[in-house]
Amino acid sequence: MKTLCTAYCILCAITALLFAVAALCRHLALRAERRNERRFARQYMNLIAQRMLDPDGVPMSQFPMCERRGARKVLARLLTAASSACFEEPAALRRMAAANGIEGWLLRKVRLSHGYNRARYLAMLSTLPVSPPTAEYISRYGSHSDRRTAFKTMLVTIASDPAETVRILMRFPHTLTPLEMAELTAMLRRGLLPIAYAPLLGSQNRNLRMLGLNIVRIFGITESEQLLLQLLADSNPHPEACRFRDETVYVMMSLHLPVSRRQTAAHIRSMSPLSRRALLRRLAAEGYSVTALTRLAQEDEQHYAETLAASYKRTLVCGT
Amino acid sequence: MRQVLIIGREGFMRDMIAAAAAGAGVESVCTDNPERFCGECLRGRFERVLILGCSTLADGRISVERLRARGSRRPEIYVISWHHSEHAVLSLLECGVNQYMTLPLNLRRLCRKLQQTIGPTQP
Repeated sequence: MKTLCTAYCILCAITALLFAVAALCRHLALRAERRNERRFARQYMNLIAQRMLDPDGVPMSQFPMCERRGARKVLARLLTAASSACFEEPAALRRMAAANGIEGWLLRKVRLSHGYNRARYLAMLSTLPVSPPTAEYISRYGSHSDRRTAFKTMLVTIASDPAETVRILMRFPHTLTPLEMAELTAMLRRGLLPIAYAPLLGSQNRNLRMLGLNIVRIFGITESEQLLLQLLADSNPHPEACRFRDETVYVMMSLHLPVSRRQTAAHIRSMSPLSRRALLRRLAAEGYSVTALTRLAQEDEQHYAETLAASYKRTLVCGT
Repeated sequence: MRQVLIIGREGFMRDMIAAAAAGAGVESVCTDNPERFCGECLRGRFERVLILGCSTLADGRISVERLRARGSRRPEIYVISWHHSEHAVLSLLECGVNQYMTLPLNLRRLCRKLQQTIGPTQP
């Protein structure tokens, strides 16, 4: 019995030691990988900036050490971030990606991964200017059961052919969430999507209408006030239509448009008490006066509206 | 050599703009620390300050008023952010920001701006 216990303890100790050694090796490998990635990032950042500033002056050759482990991962991350944040000639980015085999690398990663990782690599592809054969290959994931994969595939398709945005959005089977709509409007900020909001607002497709509202909100298009009031005048009792009208009111608040118009006031009065209080809080945060809040509040909400407006202290600074 | 101070939380944008500025012959210093940012400005070494991002509800008027070291010119302040609304831009200009640039950014245009020298102030 004593021998058995001793053997068991020795076995546990050896197992623990093996796990500790494996964890230490993994930690050292990760440290080395991160050190390499930082070195690649520093070097590649300078090259990317130089080639974006002068795309015709520097030959688009392969980046140094591109065949090393982790180099393409770093380069793909930097190129996609540069494409998202910088408004430059897409040809420069396309040539850099082509010279270093980034598109092929990302396609391999998409094919070999699943779930979230596949969606992540598709998102990276959607920020790069992809070639038509790549977009055609990616389209097979458009009807994937995983919603994230289907959405990112749609983004890749839109990036490769922005003129077909409306048709592609109409084909998407799901209702876009606010986060997905934000990703779509990020493409719009890069100049990839058309910004004709009027046809979008008048569409029967919910995704297109929400995209139209987002365009109005992001670009602060105050000239759309009449169109927004027409949308509020719609008396469709369907819950989806009611949610769309609520969103229209929030967009009007973001643009600091008057909320005392007949159509706006009528819709706010028809909201549930909980929704109306949330709206009043947003009105106060956007800086609307106590008069505007009390006009929209019901009888039993007057005190709430007055204290809400008074709780937002505004500092008035007079120029000296 | 002209000097530019770049402050922002996002490391990629800081490094990208610093690399582009270096390619354009402009020396830059990067930081993500607001205390260090004010200290560096008060030493009076920088001609321009690039602020990456803005906080909508924070009034930057007091910070801008503090940025001038005694006996020196206040650096020009450029803000680069994702906000597109007229209200946000006007608020920034009223706080004392010299120029506002929206993202996505045109690196060549930014580098041309950084290369311009600041002339003497008009009476």
